Amino acid sequence: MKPDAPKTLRDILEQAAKSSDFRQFSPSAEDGRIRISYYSSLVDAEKINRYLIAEIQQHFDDIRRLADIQNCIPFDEAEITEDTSEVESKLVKGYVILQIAPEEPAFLIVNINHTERGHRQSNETENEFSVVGPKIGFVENIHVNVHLLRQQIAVTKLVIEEVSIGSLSNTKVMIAYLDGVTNPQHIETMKQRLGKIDFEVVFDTSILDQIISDHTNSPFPLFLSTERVDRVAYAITSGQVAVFADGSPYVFTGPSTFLDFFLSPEDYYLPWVIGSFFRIVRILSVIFSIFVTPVYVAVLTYHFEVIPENILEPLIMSRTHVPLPPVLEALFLEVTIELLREAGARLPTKIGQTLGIVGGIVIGQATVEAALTSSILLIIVALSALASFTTPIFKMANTIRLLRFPLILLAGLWGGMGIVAGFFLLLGHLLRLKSLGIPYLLPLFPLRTGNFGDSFVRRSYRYITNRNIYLRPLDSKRYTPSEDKEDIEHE
Amino acid sequence: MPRQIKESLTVSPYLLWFMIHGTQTGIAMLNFQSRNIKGAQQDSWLSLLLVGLSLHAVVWIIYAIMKHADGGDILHLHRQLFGKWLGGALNLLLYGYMLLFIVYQIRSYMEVIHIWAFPTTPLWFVCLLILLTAVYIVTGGLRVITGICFFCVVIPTLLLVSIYFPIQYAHWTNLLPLLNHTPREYAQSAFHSLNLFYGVEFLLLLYPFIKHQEKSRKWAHIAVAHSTVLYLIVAIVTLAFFNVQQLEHTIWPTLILSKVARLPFIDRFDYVYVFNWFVVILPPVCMAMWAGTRILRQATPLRSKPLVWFTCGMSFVIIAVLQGPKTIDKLDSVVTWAGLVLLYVYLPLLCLWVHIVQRYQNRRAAVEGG
Repeated sequence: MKPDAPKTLRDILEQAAKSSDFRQFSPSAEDGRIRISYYSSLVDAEKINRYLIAEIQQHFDDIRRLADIQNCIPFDEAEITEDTSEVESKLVKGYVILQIAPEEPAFLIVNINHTERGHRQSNETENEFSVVGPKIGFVENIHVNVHLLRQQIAVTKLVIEEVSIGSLSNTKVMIAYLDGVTNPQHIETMKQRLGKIDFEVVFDTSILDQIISDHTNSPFPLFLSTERVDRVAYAITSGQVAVFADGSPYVFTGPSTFLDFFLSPEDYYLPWVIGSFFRIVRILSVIFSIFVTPVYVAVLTYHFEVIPENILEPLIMSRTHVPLPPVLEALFLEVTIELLREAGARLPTKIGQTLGIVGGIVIGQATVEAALTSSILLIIVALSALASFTTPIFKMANTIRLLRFPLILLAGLWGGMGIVAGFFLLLGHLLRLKSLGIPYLLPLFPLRTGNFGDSFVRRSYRYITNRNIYLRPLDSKRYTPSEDKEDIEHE
Repeated sequence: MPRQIKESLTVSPYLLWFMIHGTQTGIAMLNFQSRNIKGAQQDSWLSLLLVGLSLHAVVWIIYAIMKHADGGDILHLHRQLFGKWLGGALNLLLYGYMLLFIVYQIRSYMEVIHIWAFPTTPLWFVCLLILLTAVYIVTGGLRVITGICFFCVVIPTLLLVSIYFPIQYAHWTNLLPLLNHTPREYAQSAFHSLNLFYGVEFLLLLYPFIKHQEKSRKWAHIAVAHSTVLYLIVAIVTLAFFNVQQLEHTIWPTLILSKVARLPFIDRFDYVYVFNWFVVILPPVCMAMWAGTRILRQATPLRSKPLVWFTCGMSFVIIAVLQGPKTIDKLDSVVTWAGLVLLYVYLPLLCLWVHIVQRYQNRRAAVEGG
């Protein structure tokens, strides 16, 4: 047989019959006319027994043609076809094939897949928790996820398009956007890039986002992946495109900018003064987290002159017995923190807590007493680790944690100049990056002051009525702010 | 009509402000005060102002030239006017100027680094870091360079706040008596403030990369005015803080000025200045490296990446060769003369020549057409 010749239904069924979970039988023992074939692991057995087989047996005498079966069974997704090209992929998605006579080329194909089996029921946001606001997150089932999104954005303008990716997984991937708001260019680019993907099994959307990202050699995530429904809904209403994949509780949105990764939904749920304050704290803590250890290394290795006298004394006291040069001392502690974090992430929650105590208190205290590090550095490293966890998006938090290592090395080699050079290498890198063709450092560079009301601070809802202009939405107005309340009071 | 390159590669005209201003501010800002007092002394700020104003004329001349460049930049214009060989030779001279520019900025900065922060580290080690940073930025293309210029203008501007400290100790009477020098002395001072303003010449190569070229004229002038105002502020504060005799014996007055600042968490504020100057010299170094690469790309069939590395290697070798205590002064005067010849002699002549050729061609076209 030629490899590209269309397979007959018989070939397909024979191939499938090699698996032990593949079942073929006739609903009536005496007359083997009707044959039912399916993967028992994929279908809803209860539905098959209660509806399919029961109905067929009940109307058995009336059945002459396939159409008779189609009419008597209570399933929507059923069709009669002779086309065998898609049978194979449908069979492995939980479709059931009904044949009325083995020699007849036409057959009935019915969708009775078990959608909920194996999926977790809890959909709380576990990794992106917020105190205020909804706690609903996405789950592994794409239909549930799309349902959650449609509940939030209840207009027909919300368009969801489907593609299938993965030569072995045939994963359902959905692209969601707001028609008439999202710039068609973003939608086209996203569809084009997703369409070009040739991959085996799509386990998670983060695989897709790496494949389609504009720059593959960058530690920075170029698409924002989140498990929060409100976050995705907000991104879509701002004119971004969201991508769902079946089996993945994470949805990614793009084009994203560097700043997007430091915004939290809570900024919008708290009063704007407090929201803005926490946002600034978060941005400053990132800068602190990246630069504080390198600065310690640079100052203690080369530029002790800059330390004021009253700080110099406790610093010398704590470092007198430390045998290591500052750069090794800092690397040692930073690696220890990384170990604690990595071990904590792999352990169950209860053991993880114990590890936190053992790691944080015992090891920390012991290293200082053993004079492996100075207690001041311990404080600095612990603070910078703490600061790096304020980043709401996990992928970006990882990047922030990585960045300090090259900077510590640069500081160890070139002191303050190394830090400045490192900062500009970083800036040079960030300036190169683009997400779906949009510069990553927007709105800082190219400077777009029009949306500063919702960037480093979040102003009151009265003033942030427009969508971000740099996403080039077709319709930039979000809403009209309500009348001035003072006027109402005066009336 | 002047040609423009592909629109996706062009930059907005307002960014010209940051590109030109960022390129103008360089290493000379650390020590210009002790040089330009030779001559007009406490009136040297007036010479500074005059040079700043003359730069507007230079910008005007550059725009007048570029209007007639069919290829968009000076490199094409040279070939168009002088033929392949003479034009190529002129472009090569321009490449030499770019190398000189890089070497001048880095070598002078290394001297500061050597004296302030790393007296024992070998100089080539410091130079390597600066050049590699520049290479990484330049290989990103003009957009990245523009971004760097933007941040390299914004970040050092924040440091301007620190002149609050020296102003507390300022003796404003140092500026008196006003205007008691001869024109010759003013000219001498002006000559020594020239190298502060070098950087506008990059417009000759940047021109085709600018969106809406006619609108950009405004931003080029704003850039020059910004530089002039900035230098005037620094010069006047310096003159008020030091007296002329003190200044004559100070090598880097700006750094000494920054030592006055006292903050509870940082003792020697001048270190912040020293490392911040890395930020200040980065735009001129990157811009010159980019310009050098552009020139070589015109002359050779190579792609730009190896050429960036070539320019980097050339600069490294020259810097490694330039040792000795008098190097900085020599470099300074070579750069001042080179820029003087380029900006005030060559460009006006070129402008004149372009217009004569243009008029001749127009007349001939009119005769042939009629």
